[in-house]
Amino acid sequence: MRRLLDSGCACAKVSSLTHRCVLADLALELTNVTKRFGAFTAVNDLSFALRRGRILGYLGPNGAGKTTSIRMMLGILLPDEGSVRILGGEATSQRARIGYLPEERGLYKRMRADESIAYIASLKGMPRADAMKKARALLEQYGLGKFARARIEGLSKGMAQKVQLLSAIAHDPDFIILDEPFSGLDPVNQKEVEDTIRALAQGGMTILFSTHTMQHAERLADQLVVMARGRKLFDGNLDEARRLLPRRAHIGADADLSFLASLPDVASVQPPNGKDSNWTIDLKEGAEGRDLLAQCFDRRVPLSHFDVAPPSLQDVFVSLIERDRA
Amino acid sequence: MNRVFLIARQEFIKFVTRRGFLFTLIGVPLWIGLAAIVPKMIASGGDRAVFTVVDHGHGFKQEIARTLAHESAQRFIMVDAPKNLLDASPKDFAFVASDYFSKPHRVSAEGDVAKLDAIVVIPPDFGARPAEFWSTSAEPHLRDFVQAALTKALRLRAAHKLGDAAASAALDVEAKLAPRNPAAASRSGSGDIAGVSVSIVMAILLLIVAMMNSMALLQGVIEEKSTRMIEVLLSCATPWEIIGGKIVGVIAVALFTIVLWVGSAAVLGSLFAQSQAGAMTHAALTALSNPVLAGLIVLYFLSGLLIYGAVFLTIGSMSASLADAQAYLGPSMMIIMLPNLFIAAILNAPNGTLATAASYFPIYTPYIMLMRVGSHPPTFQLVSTALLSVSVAALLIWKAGQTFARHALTTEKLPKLKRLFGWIRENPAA
Repeated sequence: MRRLLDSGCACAKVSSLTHRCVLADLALELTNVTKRFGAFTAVNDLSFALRRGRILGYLGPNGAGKTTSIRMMLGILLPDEGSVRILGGEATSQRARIGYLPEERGLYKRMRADESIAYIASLKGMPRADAMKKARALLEQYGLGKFARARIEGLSKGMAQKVQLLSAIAHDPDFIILDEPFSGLDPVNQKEVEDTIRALAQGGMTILFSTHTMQHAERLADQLVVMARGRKLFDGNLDEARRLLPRRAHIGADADLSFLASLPDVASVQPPNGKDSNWTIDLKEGAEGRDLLAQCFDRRVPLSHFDVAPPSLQDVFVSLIERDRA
Repeated sequence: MNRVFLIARQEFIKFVTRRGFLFTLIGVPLWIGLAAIVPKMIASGGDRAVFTVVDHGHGFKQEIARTLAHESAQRFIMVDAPKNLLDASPKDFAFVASDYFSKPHRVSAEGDVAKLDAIVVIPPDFGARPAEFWSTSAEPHLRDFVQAALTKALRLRAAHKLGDAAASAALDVEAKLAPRNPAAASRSGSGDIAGVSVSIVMAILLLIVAMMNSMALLQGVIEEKSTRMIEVLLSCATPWEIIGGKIVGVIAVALFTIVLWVGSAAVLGSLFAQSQAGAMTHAALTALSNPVLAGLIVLYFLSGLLIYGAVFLTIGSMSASLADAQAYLGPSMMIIMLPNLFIAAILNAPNGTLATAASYFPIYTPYIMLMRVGSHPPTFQLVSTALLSVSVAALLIWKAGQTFARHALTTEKLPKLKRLFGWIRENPAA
């Protein structure tokens, strides 16, 4: 909550008003949620919140508790402890306002594409005739118009995934949950799904998606939550995540740069790996690495390449998981 | 409630658009029809002996034909004697006749072709000399029949020759025996054979439709689990709405099937009203118009459908794949099919001790009672078994629903038997 306030609600000046304002602005709020299956704790004291209209990247290795917590958000499972509030109410009462795309193909193989979309939309409360019209319009809009009457079993994996995504959004939900939406898709289809998610968010939908591919999260997410072994390891935006690790410099040089290790900003120096001539210099926390270039010039070291970049989300993720395992 | 009907509608469409459904829809009545017709065809056509009469006497052939016309079993066919048989000299007769016994010949003006089983040769002075019975078969029935027919003809002629019309008439009297079956009589105190037949047919249909639908229900649940469609459904509806939809869907499919079959039978029955099959269909449909019988049949039928459906739904809820489900399907099928071992005993004495006792064995109640309901069991038994059927169906559906709610999301292998019963006993957390 504090993070949300810090990140700038328009009425943050008056505390009680702010509190109400933030609560009204929340699409999802998990408070100390715990779920156990026998002796196994799948989700342990999980708390985070997501503001309306934002995209949340839900990250974690296999078995982190993502799917279990998503099922609690959907009201499919009830938490043993804690509470899940979605769109201001209990998860079970908000079914019609939530769209969901499961990790695998949650479609009937013998059903036709338009019927699949219309079926889910009508289960979500849309009148059947309207649902069918909407399904056909969406299929047309997303380039699947001529496959509207095709059976799901006859569609490619990418097309079936699109149909499933359309099933999740056809009833115009306020919140959609996408469990591994990029799983098994080729790069072209991944980009299409990314574009769709971006377009939906621009249309005002709140989106939570889980993924193993950090690049999707980097490109799409306004907020990131990293889970491991049922616990939350990180909750923040991409910049905050990157600040968890020091910056890193990559310097292309045939000369020996090990002298850089003596600089106060440098944490470690790694020589080239043999495939290229790039040295990797890990900076200390908060260091900008300006001295590196100056030192190289002073020593007249010929450089072919120089960049100081923040760590990738992949690096942050791996670091978080390894730290947790340690 | 709307979601229940949407799911039921989807289940109904999913089921009736399968190829297997179409095959069953056509195949089952065909199978029942063949089962009814083929034995009769075999009895009436396959074993019918063909014979001819070379009548050198006067009118004996007509006498045999007259007796044959009264033969209720229709075991024999008499054809006109071929000309070369009529003209054959006694010396050549055996040679000519053997040709008719060895291969088919045209035996009627309509062009029918058959091999002869016997040739009866009646001499001009029949009575003084015996008739000849030519046959390559030792089968005695035709010979006995011909002998009886000719004996009767000779007696009538003898009486007629004596000029005693009264004696002649007396000799023409024939004792008739109306066939009666003690099993059928005990089945139907009031002779309501059609009612008995309808209820037995409904019992068979229950087993077929229930197995067919329940297996589809099981496959559907497993498919939904394996594709995670179940998660999508659970994100739209409660487990009980999903179960409700599936059950309503199964009932709708069963009723649709039965209505189609009964409707087709009614149409075919009216089209062939003059035939024996048409008369039987008409009698069966008339029996169904008895509201008490029809009501009981519907009640037992639906209860049975729900009981078997609940068993298969439970297995499907706990299985990650069809291969997993097989582990429990085999024993379940054996248990469900067990009453068929006693079916002959139950049909012979539908109100006997075995049938009555089996009627109170909960999962068999609907099936056994469907077999018995047309045989007028005591009212107490009808009421108590009806209540038992409904209660057991409701209990099993409730338990199946709990199992579904608890295990719809599980994809691990089936538990051991002990754990399984533990699961069924436990209440769902969600």
